[in-house]
Amino acid sequence: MNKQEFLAELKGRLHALDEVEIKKTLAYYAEIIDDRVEEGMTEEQAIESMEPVAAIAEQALQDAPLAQLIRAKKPRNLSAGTIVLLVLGSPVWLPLLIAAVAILLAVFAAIWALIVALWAVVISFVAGGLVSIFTGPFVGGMPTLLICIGGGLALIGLSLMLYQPAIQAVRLTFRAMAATARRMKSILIRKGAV
Amino acid sequence: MDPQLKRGILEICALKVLEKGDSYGYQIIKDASPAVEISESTLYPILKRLEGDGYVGVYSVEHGGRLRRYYSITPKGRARIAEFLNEWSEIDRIYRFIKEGYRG
Repeated sequence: MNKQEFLAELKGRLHALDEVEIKKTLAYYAEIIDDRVEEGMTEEQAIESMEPVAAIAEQALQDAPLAQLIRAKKPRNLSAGTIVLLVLGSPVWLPLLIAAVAILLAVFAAIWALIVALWAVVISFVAGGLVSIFTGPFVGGMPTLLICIGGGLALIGLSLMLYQPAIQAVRLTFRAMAATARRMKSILIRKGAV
Repeated sequence: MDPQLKRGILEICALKVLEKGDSYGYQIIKDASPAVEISESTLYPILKRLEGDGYVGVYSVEHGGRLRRYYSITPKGRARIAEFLNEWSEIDRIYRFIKEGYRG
C-alpha cells in the first residue's frame, strides 16, 4: 500500500467524524509517513511499520462522541428484498430492540433511584440531628435535653459515615455509564456500521 | 497496564519530551522510545488532548515543501509534570507498602 492508498482507505473509514477532524487526522498520518520516508524508508515500508489501517481508524473513532457515531450510521443502499425482510421481521426485532433499550434505561434508573434514596437518608439524618439538638432545650427537663442532644449527635455522626459511600456511589455510577457508552461505541465501530 | 493509567502516563511522557524543546509527531515517538513504546495511533489522541487542555501549543513549520506540525509545552504543561511527580511520590509510598506486605 502506498501513501495515497493508505490515506484514501483511512479517510473512508473515518467518515463518521466531522470534516475538520478527518483532515487533521489525515494530515497527522501523512506527516508521519513523510518523516519516515525522509529517513530512508519507502512509502510501503513506512506504512508497513505502522499499525494496520483498521486499528488506526478504530482508535480515532473511539474518541468521537457516541451521538456522532450513531448519526453517521446512515442507511446504506438496501435492496428491495432486505427492506421487505426488515418490514416483515419488524414484529420480532422492533420489540426486542425496544426491550433492550428499556432494560438498559431501567437498570440505570434503578441505580440512580438507590443513590437518591441514599442521599435522602444522609440529608434527613443531618436535618433530624440538627432539629433534635436545637429543639432539645425547649422540650422538657435535663434528661430529655441530654437524650435530644445525644441522639442528634449520633444522627449527624451516622450521616458523616454515609457521606463517603454516597459520593463513591455517584462516582461509580458515572463511571459505569461512561463504560457502557464506550462499549456501545466499540460495537458500532467493530460492526463496520459507521 | 490499565489503559486509563497508561494513557495518563504517556501524556506526561510526551510533555517531558517537549520540555527539552519543541518537537513534532515522529520525533516525539523516537525521543520517548527509550522509556516507552508509543505508536502513532496512540500518540495522536494524546497530542489532541494535551492541546485541548492547554498543556501544549501547536504551530506549523514549512519543511521540505510540506508543513510539519510542531508542539511546544506551555507553562500549564510544565506545571502538570510537577504535579504528576508529586502525585507519583504518593503512589510510590503505597507501592512500597504493598510490596513489603507481600514479602513479610
